[in-house]
Amino acid sequence: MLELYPTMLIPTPAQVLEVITEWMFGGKQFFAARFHIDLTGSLIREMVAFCLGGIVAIPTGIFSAHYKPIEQLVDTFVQILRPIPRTAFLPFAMILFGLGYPPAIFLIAYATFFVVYINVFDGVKSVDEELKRAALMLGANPRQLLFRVILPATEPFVFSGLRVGVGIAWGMVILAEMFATGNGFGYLLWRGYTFLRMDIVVANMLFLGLLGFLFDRLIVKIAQRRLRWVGELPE
Amino acid sequence: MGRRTAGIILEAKNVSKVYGSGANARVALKDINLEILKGDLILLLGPSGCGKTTFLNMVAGFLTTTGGILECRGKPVGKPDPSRGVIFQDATLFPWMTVRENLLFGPQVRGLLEKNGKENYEKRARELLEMANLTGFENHLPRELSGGMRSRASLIRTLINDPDILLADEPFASLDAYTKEALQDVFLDIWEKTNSTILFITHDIEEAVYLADTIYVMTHSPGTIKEKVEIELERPRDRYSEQFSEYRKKIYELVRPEL
Repeated sequence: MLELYPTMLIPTPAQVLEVITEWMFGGKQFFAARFHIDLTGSLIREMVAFCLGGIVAIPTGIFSAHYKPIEQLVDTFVQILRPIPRTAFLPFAMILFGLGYPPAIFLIAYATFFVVYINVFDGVKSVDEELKRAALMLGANPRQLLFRVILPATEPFVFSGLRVGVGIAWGMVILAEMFATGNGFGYLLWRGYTFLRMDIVVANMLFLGLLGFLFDRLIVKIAQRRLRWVGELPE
Repeated sequence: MGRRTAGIILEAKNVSKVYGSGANARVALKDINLEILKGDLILLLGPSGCGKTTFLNMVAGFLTTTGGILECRGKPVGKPDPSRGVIFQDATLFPWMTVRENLLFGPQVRGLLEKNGKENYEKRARELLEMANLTGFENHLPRELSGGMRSRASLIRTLINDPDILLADEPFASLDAYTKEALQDVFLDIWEKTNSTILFITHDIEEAVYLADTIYVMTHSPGTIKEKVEIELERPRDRYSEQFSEYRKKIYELVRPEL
C-alpha cells in the first residue's frame, strides 16, 4: 500500500487502537495489560499532590493576603521562587526524594501550590472594600470579617486557581513520570518515544487529554454548585 | 442636661479632615458644625468631590477625623459600629447570602440571635421585609433582585440592628428616576414607622428637598457648611408644587457657585 506519510512518525488510528487494546487487555509487547497500573499511578499522583498543594495554598494565600506580617514572610519567599520555572525543580525533587511517588508528588504539589496561592492571594486582596465596611458596620469582629465575608468573597478566585492548577498539576505529573517513576502515562509516553513508537505516544496523549478534560469538568462542576451566587460561570 | 441635649444623637464641632501632610496636604473638610436630634432627617448636599462622603465615612468610623469633635450620643465616634448604620450607594449586600441571611447577618455576628431569641429577629425581619415590599423574596440571592429591591434590602439590613443613626451615602444615585422616586417614598415611610434618625448624603437637589427636614448645603474645596436650610413643607410633599420649586431654586442658587 502506498504510504501517504511515514507511519513511524505519525501512526495510523488503527495502530493506536491496537496499542490501546493490548495495553488494556494484554498481549506480547512490553506495555501489555498494564493500563490499570499506569492509570492508577498517574491518578494517585495527580489527586494526592493536587489536593496537597491546594490544601496548603488556600489557607496560606488567605492569611498571607490578610495579615501583613505573614505577607512579608510568605509572599517574599513566594516571589523569589516564582520566576524559577516549576519544571526546573525536577532534579532537586529527585535528589531529595529519590524515585517513585515522593519526588513526583513534591513537584506536582509545588506547582499546584503556586498557582492556587497566587489566585487566592489576589482574591483576598480584591475583596470589595465596601463589603468589608458593610460587615464591620453591621457588627462583625475581625474574625467574623475574615471567615464570614472575606473567605466566601474569595471563593471564586479559589476555584479559578484550582481550575488552572489542576491542569498544571497534570502537566507536572507527566514530566515527573517521564524521569522519576516506573509507571504512569508520562512514563509510558516517554518509553514510547525512546523506542520510536509514536503509536504508544499517541495512545498516551489521548488518555492524557481525556483525563485532563475530566479533571477540568470536575472542578467546574463543583464551582458551579458552590458559586451559584456569582451567576454565570465561564465554561 | 436639658431636654434638648438629651435628644442629640450626633454632634460635630469644627470637624476637619486633611489628607496628606506638609506641602502635599489637602484640606477636604473644614469646620463642619452640625447637630442631629433624635428623629431628624438631615440632608447633606453638595457637588461631587465636596467632601460629603468623607464626612459620612468619618461618622461611620471608616475614616478618622483630623480635627474637631465628633460625638454620637455624647461619646466620641470610634470604629465602625452597629449603632451607626450605613447604607451605601451600591447596596453592598453579601452576594452569597439570601436576602434573609443578609438581614440576619448583623444580629447573628453580634450574638443577639442566641441572646434575645432567634424567633424575635425572624419576626422583626418579616416586619421589615413587609415594610420594604420584599415579602416573598426572603430566599432570593441579591443577584436575583432588581436594583431597587437590593437598595431596600440593604436599608432594612441596617435597620434590623436598631442603629442610633442611619447614614445614607447617596443610596439611590445609581437607580433610574422612577425607581428612585418610589424608593424615596418607601424610605420616608420606613423612617416614620421606625422613628429613625437619618443623615442622608446626596447631590440631587430634588431628592434633598423631597426628603429633608433640614438641608446642609456644602461648599467645595475645602468642604464647609455653607448654609442650613429648613424645609418647611407638609408631608407628603408635592414635587410639582410652587413652594417645592422655590426651595429647589433657593438650594440651586446656593450650590451653583460651588460647581
